[in-house]
Amino acid sequence: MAKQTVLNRARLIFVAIGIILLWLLLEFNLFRIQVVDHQLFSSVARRQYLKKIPLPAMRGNIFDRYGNKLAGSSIHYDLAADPTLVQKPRQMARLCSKILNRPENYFAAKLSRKSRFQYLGRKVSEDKAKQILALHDPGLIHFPNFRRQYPYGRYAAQLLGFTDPDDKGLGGIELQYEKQLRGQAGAAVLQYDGPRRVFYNADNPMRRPKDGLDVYLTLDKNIQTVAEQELLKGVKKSKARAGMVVILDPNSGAVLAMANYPGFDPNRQQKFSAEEKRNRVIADSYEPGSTMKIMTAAALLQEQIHKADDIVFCENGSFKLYNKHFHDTKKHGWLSFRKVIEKSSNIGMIKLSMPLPASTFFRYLKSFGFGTATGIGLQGESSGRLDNPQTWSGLSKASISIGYEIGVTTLQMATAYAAAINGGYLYRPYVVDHLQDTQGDIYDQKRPQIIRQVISKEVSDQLRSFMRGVVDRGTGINAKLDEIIVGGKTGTARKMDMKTKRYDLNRYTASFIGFAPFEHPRFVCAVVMDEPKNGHFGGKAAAPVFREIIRRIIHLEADSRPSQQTQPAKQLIFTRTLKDLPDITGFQLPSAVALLKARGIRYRVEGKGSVVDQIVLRKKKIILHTKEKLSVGKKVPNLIGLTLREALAKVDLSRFRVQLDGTRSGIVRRQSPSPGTVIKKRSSLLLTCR
Amino acid sequence: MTKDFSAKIDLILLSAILLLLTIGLFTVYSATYTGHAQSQLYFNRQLIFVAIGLISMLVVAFTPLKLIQRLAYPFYGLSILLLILVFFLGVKGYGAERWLAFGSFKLQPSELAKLATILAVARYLSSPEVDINKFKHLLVTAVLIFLPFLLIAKQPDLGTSLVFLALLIPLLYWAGLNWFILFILISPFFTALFAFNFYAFLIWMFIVVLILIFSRKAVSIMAIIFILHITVGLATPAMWAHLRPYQQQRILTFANPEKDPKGSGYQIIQSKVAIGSGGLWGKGYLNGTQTQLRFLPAQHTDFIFSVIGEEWGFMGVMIVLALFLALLFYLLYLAVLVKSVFSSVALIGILTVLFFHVVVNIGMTIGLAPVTGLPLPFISYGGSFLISTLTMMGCVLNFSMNRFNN
Repeated sequence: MAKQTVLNRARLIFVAIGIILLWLLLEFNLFRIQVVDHQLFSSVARRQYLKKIPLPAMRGNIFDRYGNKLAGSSIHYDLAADPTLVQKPRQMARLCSKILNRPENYFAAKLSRKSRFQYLGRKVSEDKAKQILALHDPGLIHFPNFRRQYPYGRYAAQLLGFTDPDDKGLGGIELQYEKQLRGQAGAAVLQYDGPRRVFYNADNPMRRPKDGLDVYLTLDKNIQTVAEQELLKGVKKSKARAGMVVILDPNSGAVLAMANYPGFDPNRQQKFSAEEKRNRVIADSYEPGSTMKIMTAAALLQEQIHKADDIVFCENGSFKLYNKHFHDTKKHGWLSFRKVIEKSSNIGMIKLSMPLPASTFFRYLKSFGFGTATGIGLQGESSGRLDNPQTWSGLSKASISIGYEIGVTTLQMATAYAAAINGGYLYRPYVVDHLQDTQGDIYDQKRPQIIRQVISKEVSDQLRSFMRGVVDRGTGINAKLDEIIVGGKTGTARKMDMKTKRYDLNRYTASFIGFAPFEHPRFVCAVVMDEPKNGHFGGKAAAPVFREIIRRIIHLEADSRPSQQTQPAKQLIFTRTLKDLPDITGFQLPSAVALLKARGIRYRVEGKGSVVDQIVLRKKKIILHTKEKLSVGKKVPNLIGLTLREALAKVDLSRFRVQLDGTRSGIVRRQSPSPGTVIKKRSSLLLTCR
Repeated sequence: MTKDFSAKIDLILLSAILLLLTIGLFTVYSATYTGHAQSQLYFNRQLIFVAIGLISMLVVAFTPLKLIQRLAYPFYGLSILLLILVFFLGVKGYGAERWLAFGSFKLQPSELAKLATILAVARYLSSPEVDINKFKHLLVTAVLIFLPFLLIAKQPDLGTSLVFLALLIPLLYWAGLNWFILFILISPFFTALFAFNFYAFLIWMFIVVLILIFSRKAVSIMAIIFILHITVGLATPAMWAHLRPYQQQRILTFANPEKDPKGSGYQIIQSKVAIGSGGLWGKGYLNGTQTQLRFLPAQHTDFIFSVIGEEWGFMGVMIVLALFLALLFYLLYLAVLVKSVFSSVALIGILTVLFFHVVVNIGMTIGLAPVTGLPLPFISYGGSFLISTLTMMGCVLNFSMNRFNN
């Protein structure tokens, strides 16, 4: 039989052994990979399907004292795709190309790459991103991103500062409070399981982002606006190289406005030079000229060396001290002390200050804050220049008494003037009022800080009347307003040529520092023009700017807050925010949401309906309750006995205009209309707290 | 008829086949699962392939053995013809393989050629006048095998062509080729392998010379064989240079997958990660992250075993491997049992093809074999291969039913 020749026991065994060996080889290797090295491969796998999503913290906003947003963040999205998960790459490429303005094949190429992550677009605006996200493609990845926005553009730009493209503060408040504004980025570790559900991995819990603190400035948006506009007008008119305005509250040192020219737009900061970004008000030191005479006068009056009516011979415009000639712009004969200030006679001032010992004069200047940074708490503040009396030459005292041989910043000058007119108290100027977190808790509440009393109230009153005279009859006549009595002092200083170390004949610093109103000053305003070409006198170039500013701001509502102990009520902000919110009940949800977004109001949607039914306030967020159908007519809820915060959370804010009576916190004791009243349209609801 | 059917059909074999097919269907479903309704496309198609394959299997199973034996040559001729036709009418497949399209139905002639070659060689070797140890008959057998091998290698489908090469030795061996000729046939492969290293080559040549001397053959024969080896040794590096770049790449990547983690090594690494992360018990059906997140390449075809490894773990893998082992041993058992030499040799051929596919495919998923694109029998998605495998199984069922017929 043929079969016998084929079959052979040895051959059978050989084949069997061959099969077994190879089979064992596979089994052994599978065992090695799956059991022995399981941990290793598991970790590799986990790395591949875990996704770490950074959750950027929202950078804190910068508000003015009334909660107007001076710097905020808008949401943008970084869009990416996981090409291996994208289901309709062609459709996606077409849509992306339409929305993101790039050729279709750019996206098609990206989506066909063998990668698990491809950026489609960075910093895509929210509505653009929404259109793409509407595809609901599982391969789409999006990260929220915030971009800094400065709604008022150039206004107070040097003070606010600016950020780099990664929203890192680079200047001004943005840099100064970088740490507080930045907050803490969170992270979500997402994991895909088999059926592609995404879930939070318990081993890598999500870290919630901690939003940055909001910075509330003492600035008043309206005053700042006026200062910016008038400064610009003044600079254009006098053809000055640069200009500065600072407005202080003389009774607290709070900065109400701080404006610089030239300026920049922090929204497009890359396009501007450092020159335009410098906050000259605090950084630039200049020789003030005649405005310094107020400080000299303060020392003379306080030391009782002269009285207001003491007279002095002004040498008819030319006076030689040692071998230097001092001049007046007009020839004066005998003038009283008061007139010397009003006419701004250099010679009169020098002669009046002769009996004043240099060291005493120095002490006064030091007390007014010269030669030291004001401590406003901003980076890059210059301390100016005030030499020690030991190094003074024979001419130094005379020079300083009329504002030469001394370097000051605009802010120093305004601070010193505030002290001169407020009864003699030197306040530390400040611009950041407090920080506030998203819960409404307040940090670093600043209080007005008196550094020292420099002069007595009587001397201060005397100086005020001197300055009133300057405006009424003297060099500051251009600052005079019809209906308001103001005071101030002009200054016109020759600029030193840095090369020749000599005073230039046609380059000046013109300034005017004044206060208003005369009886109870609310504003100290310093206006400085650098190198005005069209009329170089302080009375010409700077005084009209002061006048226009005061004219426009004097009628602005005085700050209602008690100045000594500021206590911003936590809820106050919200009621203020909501004050002008229209009735959005009955709105379709998307439009309501769009409205809230446009106003920068934080919100949350509850319920699955499509129509907004009720709005309440909880924490700092608006909660939108939705329903499918709108209910008509509403009963007034019972709020008595609740804390104000609880009450606000219960009130449909689109139905009621909440008005508060009594304290801004505590328990609601009374309400009107009473609980249960049915109302049909928006009406006010008065809550009385105690 | 039913009684007749159940009495005749080999239930052991049938159940092993059906078990593997079931596992395959489940795995294809998981590997192509996307959570959408359309994800069932592959599964549904595979279901149709299984149905066609099973029908084909049963038809072949109940065809008279004699008819199969008689049709072996025409069938072989037909498949060679198709392989030649592919060069003119073929369309490119996903990999290197070539297809023939008949309307909407696509056929991979190389799959057909496997069974045809096995049957043709079995028919030839079972002829009473053929003595395998005669050079003329050996040459005919070799030509029968090398013809489809070369045609397929030229496609260029390296993986599938290697199956034919793998057939040569077991078929000849089973047919009773003597040890010396076996040595002469096998040794050149080692020579080719060692040709890349001079010292290894030197040692190997020394061993060859020793064996030749101990064989006590005529000096002239020994000299010819030795010269042949030297020639192979010199020609191999030249042929390597002649290989297509992707073929070189595959072989090199196989040697060191980490060298190219994003390129061709990517597949092997991802596959190993999938299998390794499956662990002892696996991640559960439809829960394999590597699989479901599409980290795995060709996961419903070439790398389907990785899906099993990940979702069912070492335990699942053991079951699948045990099933294959059982099937292979059963084929071996049948090869010994059957009276017909034709059946016996054909069984060994089928066994070889199956085993080669299993070892190379699984070896590939765990980095033991190069990425050749050989699918896993019964389990991988793909119509031609599944139908051809099931048709082979039809032959096996036939041989089993006719085990006592000569």
